[in-house]
Amino acid sequence: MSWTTPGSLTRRINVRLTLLVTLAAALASLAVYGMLLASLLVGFREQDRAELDSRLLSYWAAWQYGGNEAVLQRAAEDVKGHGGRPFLLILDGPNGEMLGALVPGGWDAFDLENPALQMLYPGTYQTLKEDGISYSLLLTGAELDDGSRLMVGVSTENREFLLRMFQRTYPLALGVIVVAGVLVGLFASRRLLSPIVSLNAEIDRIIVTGELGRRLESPGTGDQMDVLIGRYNRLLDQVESLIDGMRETLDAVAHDLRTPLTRLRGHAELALAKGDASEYEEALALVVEQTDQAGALLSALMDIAEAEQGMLHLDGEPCDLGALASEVCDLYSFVAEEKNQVLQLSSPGSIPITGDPVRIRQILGNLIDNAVKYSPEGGRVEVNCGIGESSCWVEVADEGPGVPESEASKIFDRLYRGDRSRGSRGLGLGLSMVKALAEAHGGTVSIGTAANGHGALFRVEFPV
Amino acid sequence: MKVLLVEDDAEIASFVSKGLREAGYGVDVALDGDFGLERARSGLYDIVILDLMLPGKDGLTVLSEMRQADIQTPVLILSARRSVDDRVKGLKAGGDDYLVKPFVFAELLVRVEALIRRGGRATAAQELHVADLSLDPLTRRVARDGEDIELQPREYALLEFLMRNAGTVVTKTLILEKVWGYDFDPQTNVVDVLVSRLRSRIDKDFPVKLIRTVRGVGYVMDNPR
Repeated sequence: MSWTTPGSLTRRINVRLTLLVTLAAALASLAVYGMLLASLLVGFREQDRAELDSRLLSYWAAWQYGGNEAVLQRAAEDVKGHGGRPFLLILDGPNGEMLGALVPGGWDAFDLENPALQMLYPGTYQTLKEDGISYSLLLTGAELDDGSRLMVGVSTENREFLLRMFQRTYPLALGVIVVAGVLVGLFASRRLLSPIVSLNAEIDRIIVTGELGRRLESPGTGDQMDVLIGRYNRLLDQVESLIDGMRETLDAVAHDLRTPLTRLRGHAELALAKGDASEYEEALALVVEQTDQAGALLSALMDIAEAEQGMLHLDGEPCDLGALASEVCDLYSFVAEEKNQVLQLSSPGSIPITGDPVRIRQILGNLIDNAVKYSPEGGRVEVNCGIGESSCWVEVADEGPGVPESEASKIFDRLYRGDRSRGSRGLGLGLSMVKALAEAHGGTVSIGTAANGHGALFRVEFPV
Repeated sequence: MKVLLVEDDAEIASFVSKGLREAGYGVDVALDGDFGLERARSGLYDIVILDLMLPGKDGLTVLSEMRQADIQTPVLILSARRSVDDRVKGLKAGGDDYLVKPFVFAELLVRVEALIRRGGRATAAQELHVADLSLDPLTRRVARDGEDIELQPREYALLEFLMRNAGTVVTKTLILEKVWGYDFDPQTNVVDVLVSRLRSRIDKDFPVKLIRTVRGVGYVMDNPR
């Protein structure tokens, strides 16, 4: 298995990005250079040809106006007045005899007797090259009315010089581009990768310390990196709240298992100390009872924790809230009768709802159990179901002491039991179970005062 | 009657097989899924008690492979997982009943007996007797010492269940399941309430009490003499 550390990973991405940027810049500059070179070559050639054409025309005009003399005079004037670019002029008579020539220094090395030159006419050009000379000559010519030939030429010296300069500076430019590419690539990739680098560092830190409290600051650029950081932070939020939930559950479990364990140990120890058979029997019975209680507590805590953390598996199926309420009332009617209480259910008949019937029975059972428990002998417990446009509900009203407002918010806390209820049977988990299960169904639980003015009224609402 | 117990925890396996042997069953124990499946395929058993979390083949696989091989021995599933989902999965895979760990041994015994009886003789219509108490499932007539006793439907259902399992301790969970059709424990004393009512009908006026509380476990109906 190959193992890359985050550092080398980002270094590699850095290098790749930089190479990519540099290569792209170099290729682009090469393309630009090529295009520039081509257009320069064409441009220079066109320029040279245009100059030749205009000279040819101008001397041709001079010849028609003033003959050979005028041509030579115009040429001499041009050399003087022009002072710029040197040019070649040859005027041959009808029989090939030389009538006049203007050949700048060094140009006589070219083969000016070349027969091809005799074929030139306006619009055609001939290039002369000579070994050992870095430039060439470009010529054009015309046959005059009397059979004489006029030839003009320019050297490509200037253009060759410029092109050489251009060719010489290009590698330098390329070097600059590569260096700039590397720098820009490094800078850009560092900037781009910096969120990843800090993300990696942060994850390393969490792996080492296990501490989840810190969040990464979002660069606020709105790009994918930003989204990644946002997601990472949200993931941490979720993980942290899950861990917190589990820690709380663990605390609660530890706290509440200690009580039955202490009792268990106490009973067993006492019986062992006394050592008589009836004590053993009593102690063993108590041990079994306490064990069951601990088991029930564990189940309830796990259910609540799972429901609160959204991990509870709900078998959502269409069921009837009214029918479920009637089942549960039927179950508890025995307990109510035992206290001479009236347990009355009013329901508009069928209330269709999608949920887990086992869990909904658990909700109803807990509420009705509480109501029966806290209502006095001969009291009355009312269970009302109803359905509206967007929700259906069940309300359980008792004739107990009610829940003071100061306790109303705490009553759904895990393991919270009001002072009044201390000592009565129960795990203290009923209401937090109701809340967790109702919320796992997308519902809500609220508490109020019953119509009789003192009892408690619990209302569970489910979406329909 | 032969029982195959497939359970990897040696201590649980030992106390379950000890209890079953005391109740008159022959017990073979398999400590992993592969061996369990091999034994179950022999078809020698009247019932298989199958733990779900097993080394080797897990319980659900053993169960479905058993059913694929057309071994129709009733299976009682044992599981430490208590979610409704697991129960449904277990029953769908071909399990006949489901018991959650930690369980009360008496409940295991009742369920084992019920599963074996299901495959065997039909006893539904037979009149039931415990001491001088009689119950006729056809006429729903209940009498003690020759005197008719009026019972409410739930009381009757509880009495029938206790009498069918006379001599065996039944747990509150089982009573909730058989009398009310509840398959979870609502943490209420409703069973105690119903039992105390039934007692007031059939035991109160008689010197010999037939319903006995077994503390921490449940109730048993037997003839104390």
